[in-house]
Amino acid sequence: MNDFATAVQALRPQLMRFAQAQLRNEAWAEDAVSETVLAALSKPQSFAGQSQLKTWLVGILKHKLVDQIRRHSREVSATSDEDDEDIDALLFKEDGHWREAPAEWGDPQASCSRREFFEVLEACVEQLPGVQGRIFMMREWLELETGEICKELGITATNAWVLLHRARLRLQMCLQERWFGRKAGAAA
Amino acid sequence: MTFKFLHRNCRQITEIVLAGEDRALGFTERLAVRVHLKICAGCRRFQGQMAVMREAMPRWRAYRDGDPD
Repeated sequence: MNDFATAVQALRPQLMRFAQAQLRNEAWAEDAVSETVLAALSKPQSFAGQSQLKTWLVGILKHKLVDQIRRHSREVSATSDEDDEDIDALLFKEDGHWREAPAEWGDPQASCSRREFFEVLEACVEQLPGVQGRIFMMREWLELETGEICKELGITATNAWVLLHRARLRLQMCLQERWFGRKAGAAA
Repeated sequence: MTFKFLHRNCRQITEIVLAGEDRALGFTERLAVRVHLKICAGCRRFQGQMAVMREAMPRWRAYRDGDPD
């Protein structure tokens, strides 16, 4: 194997983790990563001069992930939202008031300048349950519009909004608990 | 309060604020949020939290996709 092939193969586990987080299905993830590696190895010249090998590979992977989602759309959308918990009931009293008022998170710039924040954010995103997690990542990581998500998955816009709503609330709760609720994250 | 048609509780306001992340809000929705946020510090902070999350997303993508480790 040449250096390029070795370097590509070395990134395979990381690509696999990303693919798995998006697809939540090991066999599909394996397919997407294999297609990515094959595509990369068959056109090494197109990498020439690019910034980072990983960034380039992830760019290819994202296309292959959309292909996989398209191919398996029926199975993906047939999976119900495994999130049975009533998140609204955790956050709000019956009269619609906050159980506990949201905390001040401070200046976005302050958190966003810290590497540790993104580690926490990433962990929170990858922990989003099933379909919610898939859809949230399609929106925020693959950067698909809601319309495209609905088209690829064959679901209604309302359905997508409900799932994104829950995903964002879960993410908010996770960040509060694991970052902003702790001293490390407090906006000094 | 007059303008009863604009009255929403915190749960409903949260729902509108969240919806605003993924679709364009209607005129009444935007007005209801504006009226509510004037009197509710909790929902104001929630809106601020959503802004933090929104601003964090592109940077998270850059971190995730580019960080060699």
